[in-house]
Amino acid sequence: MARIVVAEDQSHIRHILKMWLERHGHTVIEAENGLYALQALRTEPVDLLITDINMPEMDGIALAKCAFDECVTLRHLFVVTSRCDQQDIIAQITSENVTVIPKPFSPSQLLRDVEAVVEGPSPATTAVDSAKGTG
Amino acid sequence: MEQADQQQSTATVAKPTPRLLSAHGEFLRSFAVQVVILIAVALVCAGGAAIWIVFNGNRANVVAMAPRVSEALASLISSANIQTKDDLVALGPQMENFPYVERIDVEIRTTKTDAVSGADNTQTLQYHTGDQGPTLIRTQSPIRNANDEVVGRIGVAFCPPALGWLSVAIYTHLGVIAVAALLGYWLLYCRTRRQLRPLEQIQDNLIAYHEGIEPTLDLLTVEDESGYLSDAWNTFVDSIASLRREVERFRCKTAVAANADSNHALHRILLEQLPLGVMRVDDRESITYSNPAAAAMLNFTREGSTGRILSEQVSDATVASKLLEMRSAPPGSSTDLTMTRRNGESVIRVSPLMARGPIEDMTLLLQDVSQLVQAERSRDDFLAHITHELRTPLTNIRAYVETLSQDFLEDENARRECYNVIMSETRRLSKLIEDVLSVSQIEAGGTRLVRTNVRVEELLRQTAQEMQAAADAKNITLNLKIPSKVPMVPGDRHRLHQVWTNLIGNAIKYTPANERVTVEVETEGSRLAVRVTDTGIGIAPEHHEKIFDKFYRVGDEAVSATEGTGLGLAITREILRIHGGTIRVESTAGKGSTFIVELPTAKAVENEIFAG
Repeated sequence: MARIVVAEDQSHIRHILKMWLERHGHTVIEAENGLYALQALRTEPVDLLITDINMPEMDGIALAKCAFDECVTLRHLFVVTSRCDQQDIIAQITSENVTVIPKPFSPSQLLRDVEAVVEGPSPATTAVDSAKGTG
Repeated sequence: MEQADQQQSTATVAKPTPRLLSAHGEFLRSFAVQVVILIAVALVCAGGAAIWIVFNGNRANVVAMAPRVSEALASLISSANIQTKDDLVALGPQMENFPYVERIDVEIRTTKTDAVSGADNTQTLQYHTGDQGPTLIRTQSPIRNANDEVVGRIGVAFCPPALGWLSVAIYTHLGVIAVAALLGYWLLYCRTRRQLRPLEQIQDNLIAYHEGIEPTLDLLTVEDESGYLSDAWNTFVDSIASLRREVERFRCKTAVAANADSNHALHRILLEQLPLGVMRVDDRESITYSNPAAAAMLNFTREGSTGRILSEQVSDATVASKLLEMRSAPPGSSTDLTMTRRNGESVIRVSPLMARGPIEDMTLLLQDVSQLVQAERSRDDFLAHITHELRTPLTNIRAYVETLSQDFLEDENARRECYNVIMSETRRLSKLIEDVLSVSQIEAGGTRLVRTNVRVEELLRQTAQEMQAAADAKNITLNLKIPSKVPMVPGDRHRLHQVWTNLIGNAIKYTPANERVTVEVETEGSRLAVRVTDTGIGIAPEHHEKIFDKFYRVGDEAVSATEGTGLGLAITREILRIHGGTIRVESTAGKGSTFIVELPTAKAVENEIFAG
């Protein structure tokens, strides 16, 4: 089981992710923006970070750039975004342990990706398209 | 036209060449003939004159001596005592001695008395001499007897002196005159005819040319090989034809030159006023031409730039270098250059025109595509925004639908919450699509307004009633301060309703619970002012203008937490703009906001129409 920070300014999405992850035994820490998520990373031994990109105060890219430095236990980063420039996002974060998931995403698929990371080695930096979620 | 000239030249060569030397010979021959004729006429005249003088002299002598001869004959007869005709005939040999006497009529009274009657007998006797010819003069003289009594009379007819050789000379002379006259007439006739023949042709051809039957001068050539006049005329016609060709050629050249000058001037005017930049650069990298647009785009002074090195004129070395690199660019290609200016940057799209080779002048076409690039960026931003805004409610809908489909929510309230989220996100999606369509239609000018005189106070009350439920949900007091008399506003009722819905809806949305929203209506001259005031989160001054841009949302937590498409105020401003109205905001962060809408009243619009 993993300790996961969910950084998302949309409360509905935050709520549904928490519901799915907790139902499968994970511990979820909610953050309304990048700053709250960064505080959680600094204070908690977090395994995974699921973050949105467009958030007030501190956006997902800034958070992702410093996340691994702020939290040594962090193993993988999931970026869920509705932006179209996913390749730019990957290029900006410059970390291997990042998976970009475009919105709208499937909660079950995200859960499978999370559990794959928790149970196995970190996946390479990839951009998962929406077809993967439905397929 | 050149072919026509060649044909005319060929026709000219084919014509008989005027023979002036031959013409001179002809003239000399003609002169000799005339001299001979003149000499002959002179001789004939001289001979005739001599004959005439001699002839007249003889006649004068005859006339002068006629009375004396007549008197002598009368004396002779008187003395001879003529009684009978025989007596008279016996005098014949004596009368023959009188010259030029043609006939003598003697009427004499004889003394012998008639035997029968006893009366005196008067006889008329005639005597003819041997000379015959026409009578020149006739005389009469009395015959007197010895007593000096008139016993008769004598009539003498004189003939002209016998001509003899003179007569031969006269007839010969007359014959010569007749022959000479015939010969002269014949010669003159032939000569005149020969001379008139080309004149007749010339006359016919000139009439044909004058009446337009023959449009060219070719037929005016006279075909008379021996005529001096025809040769001169042909030369004259050739000269006129040649002159006409020269005039035509000159006219063509002038027309072509004038056309070329006109085209050149037109091209120059077009280039000078063309909004596209045109610049030519030679193989030594010097500017050979630049129009005003090119100079303005590349930010250099056009005066004196011709002949100067490009890199000296264009201050930006990178831009100058890229411009020179266009020499090797394929035709049809283009590259965008960014020019830094005082008021920002501009994007210049450069493409080579008619690039024929590396050593010839390079012609560059420059186009300021800043607005185009800006429009493309705006379109891309719009698409990115709309995609982002669509994905957010879709994400919620998909996630909650999938959650419900997993059937692991045992709690009915949790399931109901899922349904509510799906419904609200569906409404959000619909509202987003509706707003996007509205803003697109309004910006594209495709909105058809149904203009009537709208009672704004009624529309505000209607909107307030519709929004009352939302206000009540947050226990917000919705106050309307409307004066008793409000002027009507010309406009589209549906669109104005959309304005008030957006403004009052925003006020309720961004105002905390238990606060107040106030709508005031005031008449300010010819304009109606509507103020929507809330006591909500307020807007920082740096956002006052931007909040009316599409998809712009203030990035603080309270706004992000509030549902919205970011299009409401943009649509509101566009609707007011097409109604001739304005909107502005007065606000302080944390202390509420007042949105002030101003619209022209119906009376003001009428006055403007009548005044206009």
